[in-house]
Amino acid sequence: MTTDRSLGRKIFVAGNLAFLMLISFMCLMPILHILAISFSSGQAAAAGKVVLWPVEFTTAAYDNVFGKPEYLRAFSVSIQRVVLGTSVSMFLMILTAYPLSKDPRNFRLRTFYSWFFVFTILFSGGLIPSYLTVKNLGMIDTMWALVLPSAVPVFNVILLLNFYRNLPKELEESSRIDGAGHFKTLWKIYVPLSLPALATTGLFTMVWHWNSWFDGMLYMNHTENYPLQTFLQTVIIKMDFRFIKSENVELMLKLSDRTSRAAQIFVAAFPILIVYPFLQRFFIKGIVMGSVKE
Amino acid sequence: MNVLTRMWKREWPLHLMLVPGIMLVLIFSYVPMAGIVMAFQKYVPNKGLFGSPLIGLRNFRLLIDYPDIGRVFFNTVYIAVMKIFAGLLVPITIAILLNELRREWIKRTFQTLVYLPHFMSWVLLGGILVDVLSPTSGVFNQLLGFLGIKPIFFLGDNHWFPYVMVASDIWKEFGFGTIVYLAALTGINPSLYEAAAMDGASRLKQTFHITLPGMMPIIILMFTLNIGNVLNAGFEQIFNLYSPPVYESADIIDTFVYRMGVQQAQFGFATAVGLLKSIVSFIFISISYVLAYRVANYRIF
Amino acid sequence: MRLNRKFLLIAALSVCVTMTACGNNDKQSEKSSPSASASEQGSTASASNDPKDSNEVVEVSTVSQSDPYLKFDDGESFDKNSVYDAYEKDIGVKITNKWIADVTQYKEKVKITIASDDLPDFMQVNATQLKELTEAGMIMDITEVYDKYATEETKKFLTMDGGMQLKTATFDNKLMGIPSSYNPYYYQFLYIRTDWLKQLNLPEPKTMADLETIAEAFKTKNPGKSKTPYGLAVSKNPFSIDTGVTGLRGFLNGFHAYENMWIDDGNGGLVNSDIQPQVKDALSMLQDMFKKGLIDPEFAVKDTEKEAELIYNDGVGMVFGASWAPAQLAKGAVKDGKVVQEWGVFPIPTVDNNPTLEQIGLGVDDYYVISKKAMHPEGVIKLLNHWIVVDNHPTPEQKVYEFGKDLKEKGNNYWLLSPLRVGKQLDNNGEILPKAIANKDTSILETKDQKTRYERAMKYIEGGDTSMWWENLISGPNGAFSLIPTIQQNKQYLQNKFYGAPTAAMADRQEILLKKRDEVYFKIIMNQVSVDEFDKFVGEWKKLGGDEITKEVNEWYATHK
Repeated sequence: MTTDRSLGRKIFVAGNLAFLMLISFMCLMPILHILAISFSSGQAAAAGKVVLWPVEFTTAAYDNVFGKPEYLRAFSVSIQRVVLGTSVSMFLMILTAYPLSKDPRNFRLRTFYSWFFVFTILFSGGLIPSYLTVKNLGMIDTMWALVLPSAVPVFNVILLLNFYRNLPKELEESSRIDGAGHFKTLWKIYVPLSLPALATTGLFTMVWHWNSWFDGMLYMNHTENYPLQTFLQTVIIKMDFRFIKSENVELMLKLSDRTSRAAQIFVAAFPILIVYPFLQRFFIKGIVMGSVKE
Repeated sequence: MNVLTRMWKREWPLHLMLVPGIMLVLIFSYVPMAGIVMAFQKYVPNKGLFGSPLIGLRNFRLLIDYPDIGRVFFNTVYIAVMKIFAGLLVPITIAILLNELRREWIKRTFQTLVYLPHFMSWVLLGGILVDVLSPTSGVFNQLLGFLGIKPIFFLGDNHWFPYVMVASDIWKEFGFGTIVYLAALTGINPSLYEAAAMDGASRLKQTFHITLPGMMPIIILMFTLNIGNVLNAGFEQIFNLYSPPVYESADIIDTFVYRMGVQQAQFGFATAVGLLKSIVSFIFISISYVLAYRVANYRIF
Repeated sequence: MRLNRKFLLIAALSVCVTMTACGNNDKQSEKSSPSASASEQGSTASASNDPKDSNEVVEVSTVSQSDPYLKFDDGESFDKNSVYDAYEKDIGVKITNKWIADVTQYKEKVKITIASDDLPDFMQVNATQLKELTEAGMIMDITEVYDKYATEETKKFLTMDGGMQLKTATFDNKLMGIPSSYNPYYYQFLYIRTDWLKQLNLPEPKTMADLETIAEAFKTKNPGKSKTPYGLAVSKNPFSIDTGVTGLRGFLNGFHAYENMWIDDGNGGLVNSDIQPQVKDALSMLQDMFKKGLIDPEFAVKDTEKEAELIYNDGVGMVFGASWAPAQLAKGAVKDGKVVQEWGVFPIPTVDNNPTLEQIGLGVDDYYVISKKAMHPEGVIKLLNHWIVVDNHPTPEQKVYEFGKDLKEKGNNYWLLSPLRVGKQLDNNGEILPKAIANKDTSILETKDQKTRYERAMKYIEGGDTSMWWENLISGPNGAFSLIPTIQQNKQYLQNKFYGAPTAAMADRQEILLKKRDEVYFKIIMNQVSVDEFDKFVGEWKKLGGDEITKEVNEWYATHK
């Protein structure tokens, strides 16, 4: 790539940097604020005294989460869910997007199949029928209930098929000439060349699995099977004052609705936050073109 | 027949690849769709989906006869459409700007920072917005004060409320939204830029003639998929931030259905509204699908 | 061909899933059969409550809420614990759980359980669900089984309120559920910074005019030296019963206005309180206060916690609150072990010479219902009988129900494990506690609740433990409880005259009526529209379904008077 060294370019580069810094700053501030709240005493947080630095520093809100024996179990359920769910979904995504990315001339029914999938993101039977289906399959209280109902992430499939289509046709043709079948072409050509797209859709799937909590509540009949997010919904200190007990009040002075919610966010988001910078490795430019030249 | 056999011979692996996906979608999406019949029923649990009494279009009439329906419908579409367009423009712009950064680590840092707000909940952000936008002590109004603008009660003012919803939603989601465009940018052939630079095209020109066209399929795709949200204005956000004085401009279909649900424990009404929303999404997506095909000769999916 | 193999794997996997699905169904049917046979034996067994008559143990299934305060002893869980063991041993009822959900998620799960027609033998549901289940015929008419198995003590215990709560669970003379009862006499009070009253030489509030005077003084003299001083703390859902602190129900009551209640129209019928002229008077004064800056201009967007910041930071010194409000106020009143804000509690002032009548509910939101398919409804009633015994006068061995097998307090809250719990419909905390604390007399304390409260208050009074400051403001000689006996004796309360399940028009129209009401109430208070908009609202209310609801309610009233 050529580098433009004109004055206008320099002004743009500086301006762009300043603008992006401002934007990032606007995104960072509220998060620092929430982080500060999570490390402040319930009293200080309740009085609205916390700005960007913890007031009356305490880890009580985190102790409240980590101190529970259920925490580790829920964490491991979540990890299992994300690993299993993402692998199953990635596999299905790669496999499903390939035929759908074909030209209708080469695969007559593709448009029908596409709509068949898209239809499912538009129409749904609602909570109860979905629950009954999972229940009748005997998957209540099993990992499958969290993985299989959402195993085909249609949105990601569509995204991926659009990336597949942008791959140069010559590659596929030459591979077909070499006698490779569809499966081999997909595995040897498509997958390695669509790494940025796979990283993107993989990240979406992972984040989705990590963040969903409602299905955990819906499909798990025993709290020990809760994934982390479902479990974290239960640690928020909100009490029914009508039936107040002394130990509640003691806890309330240390913690508050606000501090526990803040801590909940960070406990929940931290693992997925560190995954992202790692995945950014796959956003390599020119990966496709490089391979064409080879 | 010969043609068909030949076709089958050529295409069978493609069909085979779709089998697992289709099976799962059949079981977990199509079978439960039987539940849509609830929209026309007074659902009685022990009679089930097939035995509950049918009540025709009563649930739909309840929605149509709702005195504020026009207002609620307008608010929903107004907020949703603004979100759809801004939700497209902002992430694309930021992705392009990020792409202009030379140093990889700076780029990644910014990328990660703007991605953070996606993980915050509206319950917490709602509290922060009340603080930041407060007419008496909020930072935002203080800044406006320097410009000589009188304090505005953004969250309590029917004029401003929809814009606050759009702006704060964009703020929360744009970073996450850029990811897909950044991925699209990786697919653009670098040699195109080299050629353009040799022709003396400025960076701005390159952006308009190479970068944007290169991202176009993904942009059209995202637009088509998002246009389906024309009746989704963002329940969690509005539910956490609205209040009676701004019902006029803030009440959307989903908040209305929620309040109805508190009063009557029936699933029929919510299902009926859900079905209507689905049909509208379906129509919008179909239209833009057809448009994209006719105009750009591109099948989005 | 790695993909091919993977594909086979997935195919195999989906087959597995279908198989396990069938497998589980088998297991379920197996599980249900033994209980079926047990029931056959059960029906021949003696009906007596005394388990010694037979060694028969009946099994009842339920669903439970896991609670953050419930801490299991080592090796115990919802499947097996000393409380369940004790029930099985003492009354021959074995408890099993179909599912367990956290308190926050329990309600959602109940909805799904009902909708999927998968009821346990008994479970706790709300009033709307009670009606729905009754109409669908999914729950049992327990009139007879209650009559036969409930002990005299139980029957007395559940009718301490005159039988009102049981009546709400009765449909066509059939008892369909056991009220999960609590004390309905749940009042609002006015809490004021007494240190400020003293400093500014202000009298205690007797009338609503006094209230405004105090609010104005607090605002203008700003004794808390706050940047944002206001007179009265109000939050975004001021009319909801769930807003225990920073609400305006007490304010309305001071004007003899009431929030969404059905009251006597003077001609033997019922009218809705939301559209009565007294409300207009109350709103007019609120508007006046708002104009004078006595109410936080942003109250409409602040929830209780957010609005309370102003209280904690010395910006506001007056707030309506329930008897437990001091526990909330403590967050700002006690700092670094010192009491930095002095609060007093007062009865709701009145607008004229007539005393304020406080609006109260029925003291029951939830009901225990028994599934029609239950084999041993008598087991459920036995659980009820036994709970009342062990909660009110436990023998030393029965402490197991409260503390677990060690029989001593260690904060594990084992009482939460009892699957069926009802509370007293009447308490005499107001008569006993202030006296006991003033005279340091433990001999008059009767209930467990009174003993704990007494101890807590004493920790503050005698031990100087400021973390217990709030209990003194609740139970102490000048606490909220001390105001209750006067209210009770003079009957200064008003109960909703309609206690039936929501009528058909209510289900469809209640939402719009409440929305319009909140909209117009808020706009009047915030001075965005003239107070005369109220009259327009009354007309609208009637047209939008209010008249229809009124008709239905009166039809109901005619048969329930």
